Amino acid sequence: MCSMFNPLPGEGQADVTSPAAGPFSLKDDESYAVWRSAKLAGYPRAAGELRVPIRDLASPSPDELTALTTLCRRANMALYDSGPLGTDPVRTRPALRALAATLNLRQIEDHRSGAADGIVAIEVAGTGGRAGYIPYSNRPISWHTDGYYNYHGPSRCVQAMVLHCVRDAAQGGVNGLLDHDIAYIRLRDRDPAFIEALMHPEAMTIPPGEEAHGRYRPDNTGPVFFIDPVRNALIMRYTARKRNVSWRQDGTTRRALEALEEILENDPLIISYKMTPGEGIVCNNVLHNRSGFDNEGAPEGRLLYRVRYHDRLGS
Amino acid sequence: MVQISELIISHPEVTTFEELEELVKEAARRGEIHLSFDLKPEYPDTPRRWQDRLETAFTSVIGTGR
Repeated sequence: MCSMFNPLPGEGQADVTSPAAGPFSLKDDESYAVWRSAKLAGYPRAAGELRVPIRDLASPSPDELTALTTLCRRANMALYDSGPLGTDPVRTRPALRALAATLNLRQIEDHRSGAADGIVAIEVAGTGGRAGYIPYSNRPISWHTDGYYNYHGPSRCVQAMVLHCVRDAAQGGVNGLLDHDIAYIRLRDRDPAFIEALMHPEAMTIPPGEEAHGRYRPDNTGPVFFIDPVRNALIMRYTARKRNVSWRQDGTTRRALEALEEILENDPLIISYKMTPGEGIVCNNVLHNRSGFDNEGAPEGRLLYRVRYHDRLGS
Repeated sequence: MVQISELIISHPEVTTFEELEELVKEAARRGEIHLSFDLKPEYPDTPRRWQDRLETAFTSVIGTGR
């Protein structure tokens, strides 16, 4: 099969923003129409369709693995329920890594808040390096994909992640989930120029900032939608936040962002789900948000584990 | 069971019916034993009897036991 991607002039690398053919090329409406029909036909309509019970989190059966992989092909995500093992904050950690490895996720992102095993604990943190960042508070988090502030091309971006609930909140902490392929379809159906604008290499810039532990992060510029030419996959880099982000200054980009906000407000394919202890999600970095939550009445508080990977699920 | 829609979604590099036939054969080779025609693949070269063609591609591999 021939490749649908053009090399960058002089670099011998594939262009991640403007494929010459295939469903993600704006010049290939026929391929797009076929892929779009297939995507919408196979997309789950409710959280229950995404859910896979797993008897042993560390060692899923072949049938369980097939179910997870199939869902990740259809919707770029799957929910799992691992039962009591997944509520143990100690035993869950190696089990999560093992689960990910069986799904061929091995290249863990180096994250400043990650422990030695690469797992980040998402919980309310009043002190330490995580304090002051919204993910480690009980505040709502707007729509985003993970790692949007750290774009260095497809091979080093966050392609997949595992997010596992050890303890839930007394109230709130609900996730909204939408496959970024669906966001792409909605935008392209409204106006293909929106896709062109959001695939621009300078579409979104995260300004420089001081990170925890005194490390300096330079500004980070890149597209919103881009292609991984090795894995033939669409990837999205996005945040709905209004501060500390700057967008390419042109009317089409502005209208595309307005359309995207509207889609993320209303789309019927958005799935809202509150993970309970032992449940988790494996995904190809889909769009997600989180409602605010309240730990009152839950003495230990909400605790999620997150591991992010440079590999991709379902390939 | 493998669905036509799943093959198309997970292989965006495929842009012709002929290439889809090859994917169907690959699915059979890796051990799939049922093919679900959940969607008509509307490629420019999709033939009128597209289901027959895909079924033939699928069973031609299964039939060889490979």
